[in-house]
Amino acid sequence: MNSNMTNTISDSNKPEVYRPQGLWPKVGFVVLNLWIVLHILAIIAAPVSVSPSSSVERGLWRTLAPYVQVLYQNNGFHFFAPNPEGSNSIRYVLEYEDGTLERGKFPNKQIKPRLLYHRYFMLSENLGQMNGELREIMIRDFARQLCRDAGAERITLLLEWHELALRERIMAGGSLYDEDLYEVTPLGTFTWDELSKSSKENVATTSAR
Amino acid sequence: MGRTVQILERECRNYIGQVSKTWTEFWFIPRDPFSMSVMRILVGWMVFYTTLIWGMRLEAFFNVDGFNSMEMINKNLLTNEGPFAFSFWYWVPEAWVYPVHYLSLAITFCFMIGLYTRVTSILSLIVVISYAYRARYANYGLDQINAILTLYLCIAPSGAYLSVDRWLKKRRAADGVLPVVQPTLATNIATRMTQLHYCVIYLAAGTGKLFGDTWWDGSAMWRGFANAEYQSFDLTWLAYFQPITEMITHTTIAWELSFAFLVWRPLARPIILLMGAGMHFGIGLFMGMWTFGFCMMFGYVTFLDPIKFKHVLEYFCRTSFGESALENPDSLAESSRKHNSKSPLPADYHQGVLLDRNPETSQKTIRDLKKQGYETAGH
Repeated sequence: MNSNMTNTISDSNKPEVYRPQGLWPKVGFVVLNLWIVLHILAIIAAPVSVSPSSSVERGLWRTLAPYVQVLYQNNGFHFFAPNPEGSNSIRYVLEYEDGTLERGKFPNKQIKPRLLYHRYFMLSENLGQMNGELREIMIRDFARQLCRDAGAERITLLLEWHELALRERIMAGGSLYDEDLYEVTPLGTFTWDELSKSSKENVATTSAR
Repeated sequence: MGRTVQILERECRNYIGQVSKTWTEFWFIPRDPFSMSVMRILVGWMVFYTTLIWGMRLEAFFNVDGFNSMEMINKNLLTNEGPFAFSFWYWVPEAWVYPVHYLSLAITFCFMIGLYTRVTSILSLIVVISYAYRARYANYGLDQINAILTLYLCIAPSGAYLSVDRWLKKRRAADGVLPVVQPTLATNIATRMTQLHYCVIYLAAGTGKLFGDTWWDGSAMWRGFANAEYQSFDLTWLAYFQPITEMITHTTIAWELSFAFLVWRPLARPIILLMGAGMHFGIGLFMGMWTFGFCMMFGYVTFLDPIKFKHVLEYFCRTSFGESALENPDSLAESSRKHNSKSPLPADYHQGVLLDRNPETSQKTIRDLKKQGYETAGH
């Protein structure tokens, strides 16, 4: 392998650097340079504004937010940071008109392909991290969609936190699925009637029904 | 005093001149769009696949009162994140949801195969962003990387090679010979931006981890492997091999933090990229995030020299299929000549070296060419 993978061409044979000739190409060249600087600042702005951040970093983010957001470059890239943590799942109990019950969970490994599994996984992870009014809205959204999918009359939702097993637990004969690693939080019980009513009350512009 | 000022002024001018020269050489040397064209196929496939999978549960994820309800989008995304989180889905009427989804699939497919690439690349970017914002609460790294790479593929002429556009050009050409693809500034700018963006991604990922004590005490990777919701295989046996998981932890963070600095060093670059590919392959294999892992690796293509990359792929196509499946020999030889402008290679260079499957005779041709004073870059 050549020692330099990008600069394989010797200096004497390098393609020429672009040099603008004339007024308008020069103006264009200046604008292009400014845009490059702006873009670099923009892609830096999102990760540096993740908390904890300084007022300068937040100011940079606020200034460049429109540009960054339009292009969906507003990502912090803090993958598995600061620490890899346990995960959230949604457990639910569906009740049908005839009184039968059905228990379910998402994400679950029966959801295929894996990309779709991760979509569901992100839903439960997001719910686990939300609080306040937004959390309430999201719970109702989940309940409504699960009821609609199954055609159920009533649903009970639970948030399940699965704590990670420490190495010592495994070495002592434990498993990743030990009961004490799970913490369940009830999210509420909803009827289809109230869920569909609350849906109609909201302003709707799109639907894939 | 005056003399000191003069020296200082001269030194400052020299320094600014050097900075300006380095900046211009970094951004404004035309580059062959081959790598970007390969990346278009790979990223195009990923964008198409992502859109296809959304379609499996379109109602659940895109319904006005589904998992990502418009009430939630209005209250959180548009108010908290800002009014610039545009998605065409906000304005698609109910009856048009499926037609719009099928149209999006068609656009991303055309982008993948390189049909009307200039237009379909921009439309694909709009599709990626719109799906991501509308189904905001079901997103993860894959959607972010899809958007980043598609953005840069819009800037470069990513349909210049290996595309239906190119095939159509050949059909339209009077003599049936493909026109030579010229290196472009846009390709170089897009390539540099992708490279820089990758540096930002890994640096942010690395510095973010510095806040976590598990990345310091070496237990972070065990925690990753012990996450039952992520894992594809049972990796609990790793609990008995503490040094291994600790070493993977330290290597991961050292690699992430150093990527932005070492990837520019010619000797370190292959190692850094191979380590990255290994890490992303591992994420795919052990955590089931194949799509994210592959998409991250697709961006590595921009770190490869396009001409060499083209020759390597040519070689593999020749050895696998018996003939060049990438380009016709005329344009490849022409491309080599363009990159050796001061000592253009003779017309038989391509025939004698690049298409020669016998290493002995091809090496002899190279030696002959060198004796005649020709430069054979990469050989």
